Amino acid sequence: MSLWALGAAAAFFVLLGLLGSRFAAWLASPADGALYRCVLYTITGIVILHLVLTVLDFAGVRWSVPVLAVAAAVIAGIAGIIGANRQGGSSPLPAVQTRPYAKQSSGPAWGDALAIFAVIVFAVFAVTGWITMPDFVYHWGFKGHRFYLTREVDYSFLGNRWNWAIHPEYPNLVPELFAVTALLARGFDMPAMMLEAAVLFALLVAACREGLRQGGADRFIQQAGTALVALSSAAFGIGYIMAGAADWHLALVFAAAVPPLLRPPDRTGDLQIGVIAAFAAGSKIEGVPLAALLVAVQIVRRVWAERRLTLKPAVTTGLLPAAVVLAWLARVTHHHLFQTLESGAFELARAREIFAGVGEALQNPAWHGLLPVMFLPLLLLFQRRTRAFAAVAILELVFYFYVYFTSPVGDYHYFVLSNFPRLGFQLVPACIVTALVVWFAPKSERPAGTLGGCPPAATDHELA
Amino acid sequence: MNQQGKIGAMLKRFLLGLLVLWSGASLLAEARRAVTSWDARAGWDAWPGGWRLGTPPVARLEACLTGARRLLPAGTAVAFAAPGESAESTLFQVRWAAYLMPEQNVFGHSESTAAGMARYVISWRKPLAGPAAAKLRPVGQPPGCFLYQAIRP
Repeated sequence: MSLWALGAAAAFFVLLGLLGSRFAAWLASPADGALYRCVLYTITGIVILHLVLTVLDFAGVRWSVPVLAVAAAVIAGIAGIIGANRQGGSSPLPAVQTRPYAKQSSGPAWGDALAIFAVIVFAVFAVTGWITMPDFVYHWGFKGHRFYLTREVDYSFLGNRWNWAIHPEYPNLVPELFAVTALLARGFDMPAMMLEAAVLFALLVAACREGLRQGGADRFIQQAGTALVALSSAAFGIGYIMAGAADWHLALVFAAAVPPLLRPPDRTGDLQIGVIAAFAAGSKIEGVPLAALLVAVQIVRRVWAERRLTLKPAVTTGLLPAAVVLAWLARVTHHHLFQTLESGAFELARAREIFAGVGEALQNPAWHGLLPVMFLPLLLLFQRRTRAFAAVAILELVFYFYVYFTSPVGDYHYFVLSNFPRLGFQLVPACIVTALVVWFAPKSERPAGTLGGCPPAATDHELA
Repeated sequence: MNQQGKIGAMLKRFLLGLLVLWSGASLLAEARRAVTSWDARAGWDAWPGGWRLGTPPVARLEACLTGARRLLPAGTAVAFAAPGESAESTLFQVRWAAYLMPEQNVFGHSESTAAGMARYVISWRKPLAGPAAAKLRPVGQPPGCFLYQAIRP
């Protein structure tokens, strides 16, 4: 284990957050707390990095630290100039109605302490490599190492017919993060790569905490909910050996999408959803439909709220995800990377095998009984405040089952068992948050289409 | 809020508190299990689908590949064979070999899509024999494996 490499991995995420923070004028809602801003900025930084690497690949420029530093400086500079001009005019941020909870402190307390403990425990196990997910070895980490060595997404390598087992068609944001971490660390150091999962876990917990806060949960529920998400995720992450898995990315997507989906739709929410959706689309193949669902639901909310269809919100929400998806589609199609496993006829006859697998997966010991929480969106759909989140979650669940019924795998019972517990992990933390928001918020604080008791976490002045 | 409502709210909070306790206990149980298995890793000898970083089977494979790497030019097409192992076991071993040698193009020796592509063949633990060894020339014996070069016409 190299301390230099671990430091480089940690510094990498700080730099990504700083890069993303250059877009604060557009990204941060007055309702957003400091921790959630860190989450949004880091996700934004990652999406920018992914797009920069994609452009470099299209241009045939090999990745290097100086090239990436120049690109980051240029982007930060442009964002600074545009942001300064924008601040000179009217405020980009909408006014926020304060609610009775506005006086509540969201300072650290016992639940946060438990959450920090959970993140540290997970991080310690992760950097030892003992809880490294097999898929890190089989493809995520392997591709990351390969891209680090070749200083590009090595499409000629991915296009080798024998590489079907490493999912050459998957979006490459996850291995790109490993590759750039290795560039900064001057070597592919496994503990440094594993630290990424711990960072994503910390961001996930921060996003869940914010979801509870913006949802109007009182202090006890905020603390209990934060602790519950952190402790249960850490237990599953260790028990199911999840370090290095890309499922952390999608769990973060669902959790980070909760605050803007709980708030009434607005310009800032459009961009927040757009950035989060772009992150989803770049991370995993099931992140592509998830991105489409997030964008579609946000646009429908906008249309519903304004009673008219306008192009601007659709562009604000959909531009970044579209850029990520179209670039990915172009490369995958050009190099003929789609696999036969991706397509097949819908076979209802598999139902018994699939649902037997689901039933068994729901009892997975690493979940300690919590996995059925992933189906809570079916109930949350009946609550107006959580309907948007529930719609996204349910449709993503439908997509998972569609894949089970159409992928020509063979042994569907094993297929479901091998991935359902971790697909559920993508949903469980955000489902816990939204369920607590609905079932624990005082009835007087549940008006539809309001901030639901959320205090403004910052003023326009603070953001300027 | 009436009396019944207050009791209901308190009960819900109590249940949430219990859930937090349950999750804390779950984390401690998983951590304990992980520490126990970590302490016993020297005796870890699972089938290849259950290999983990830092376990003896992976260390053995790493030793083999470190030895082979000295004899292989970078970017070479290398087939990995595991005579006597099941196809499923071999599939996982190939993935581990590819992970440990990312600078090479590693694939399974029986991979139909790579027929005739291999410049070198690594045979894990046992030497190749019979038709599989035809058109191959032994070039080295790294720890725990055998290295062959394909004879090109």
